[in-house]
Amino acid sequence: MLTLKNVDVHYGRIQAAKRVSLHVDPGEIVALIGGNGAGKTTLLCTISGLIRPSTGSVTFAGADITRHSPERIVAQGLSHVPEGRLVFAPLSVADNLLLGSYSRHKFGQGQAIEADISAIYDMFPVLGERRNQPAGTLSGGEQQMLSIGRALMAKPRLLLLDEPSMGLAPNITRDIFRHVVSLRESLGLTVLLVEQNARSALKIADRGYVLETGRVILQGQAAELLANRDVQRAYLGRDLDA
Amino acid sequence: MNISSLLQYLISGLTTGSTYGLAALGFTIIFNSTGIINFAQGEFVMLGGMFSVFFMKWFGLPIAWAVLLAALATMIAGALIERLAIRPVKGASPINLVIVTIGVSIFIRGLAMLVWGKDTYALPAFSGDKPIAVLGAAMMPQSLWVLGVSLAMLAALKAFFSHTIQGKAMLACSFDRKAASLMGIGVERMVLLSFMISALIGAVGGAILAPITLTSFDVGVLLGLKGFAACILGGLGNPFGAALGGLVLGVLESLGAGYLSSAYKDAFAFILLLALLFVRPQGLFGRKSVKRV
Repeated sequence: MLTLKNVDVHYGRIQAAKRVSLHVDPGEIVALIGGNGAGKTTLLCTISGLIRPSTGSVTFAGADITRHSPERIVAQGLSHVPEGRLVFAPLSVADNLLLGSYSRHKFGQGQAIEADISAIYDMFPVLGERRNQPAGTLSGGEQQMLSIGRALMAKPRLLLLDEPSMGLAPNITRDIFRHVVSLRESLGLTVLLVEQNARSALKIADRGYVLETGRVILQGQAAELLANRDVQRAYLGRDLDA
Repeated sequence: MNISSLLQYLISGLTTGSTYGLAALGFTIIFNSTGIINFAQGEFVMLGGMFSVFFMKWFGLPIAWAVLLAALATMIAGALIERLAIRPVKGASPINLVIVTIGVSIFIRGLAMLVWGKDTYALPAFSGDKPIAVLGAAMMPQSLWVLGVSLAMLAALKAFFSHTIQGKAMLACSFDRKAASLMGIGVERMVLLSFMISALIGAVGGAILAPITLTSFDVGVLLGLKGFAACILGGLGNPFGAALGGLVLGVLESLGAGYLSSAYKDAFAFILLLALLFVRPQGLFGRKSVKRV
């Protein structure tokens, strides 16, 4: 469904991704793990069109989207839930969700969008309760739900999730991850998940890639990665101590 | 101090204040979508008045059509500015862009002088010159037009930003550009739209004020600066603060001119602005900017 081939990304003279190749098959949850500054967010932004790679190609659903604008990529069915949630803080929860459907608005389907907003409320009841509240007043976990809900409003086939657990309490993280799994079951969504919280991510993923200083250094089935000594030492260390 | 003269000052203050408010709204809209202060905003006001005058003269149009066409023409000018002067240097720091807008404003003013000369022109009042007596004060019918049209513009903007998806998308761009483009909102298109809306607002302000204050190629300088003062006064980035800031500025200016000295009429705006910035740097209705770390 999604294929990256030999992607290089530069910020000025700094190279943030080096010859990265990866693929995500339909219906998979793929985890991209790695430490701070490994280039995980950079890769997601490259896929969603916010950053242009200097070389390499990104293919989504058979089409080369390497040079497409973010607007076009969303319309093609690829939504990106950005790091730090980035909800539109002063706008209401309902407006945030409505804006999520912006890419579909040209087709004049107001009713379908209303229905989709209530579907999001069914999925995340707390958003329904707070529909008229400014998004900035929600708690971190609620904002994460809103950010995911907003991305779902574009009717994506592939969801890029950047650090959904950032700054959240462990029980809320678990809740969010449960939602991610159920999204695949209910909507048939494919997910590419970026996480520093490697253990939780690998637990729900089918496959995983380990990124270090812009390179893919390991890849494989999620269970294998979880059992891998190097991965345990480098990324699961804190969890082992606990 | 008697009531009727106070009322007279209030009326004239609110009238000019409305135009400052409209100019300030223009500043605010572009600031919100791009983070830059568009110093060509005053030229939009000038173009609105001058185009109206000349569309009447050249094509013999009735005034309503002339004003409408002038607003459209200024909107196109706004779009051209964004396309030709702002977009090519996108990614430059805000200060560079601000300087670009100063250049644009000088260019437009020069062009206007070449085409229309240095004379002062008057637009006929929209519905006659017969003053209406209000409690001993005289109110020109044009003042009612200015207040009414300004209020209507404000209401239309409010509706645009709170009830249409394009308006909300524009707000979204101002809150978070990155997230907005991830929603499929074309940020560049929104910036273009914001220039067109600001040009429209400025032009309408210029056209409705022209029968009262006359117009010439260089009225944009002072109106732009006053509009800027109004928008700082109201708190940069807050559209309704900007409109209110304009009214406050207009009224204080007119009271100052009436009770103190009309020679310093233009200075009041800026003295007030300075005084306010010392006391309340975030403006009257602005929120203190707090950075979370």
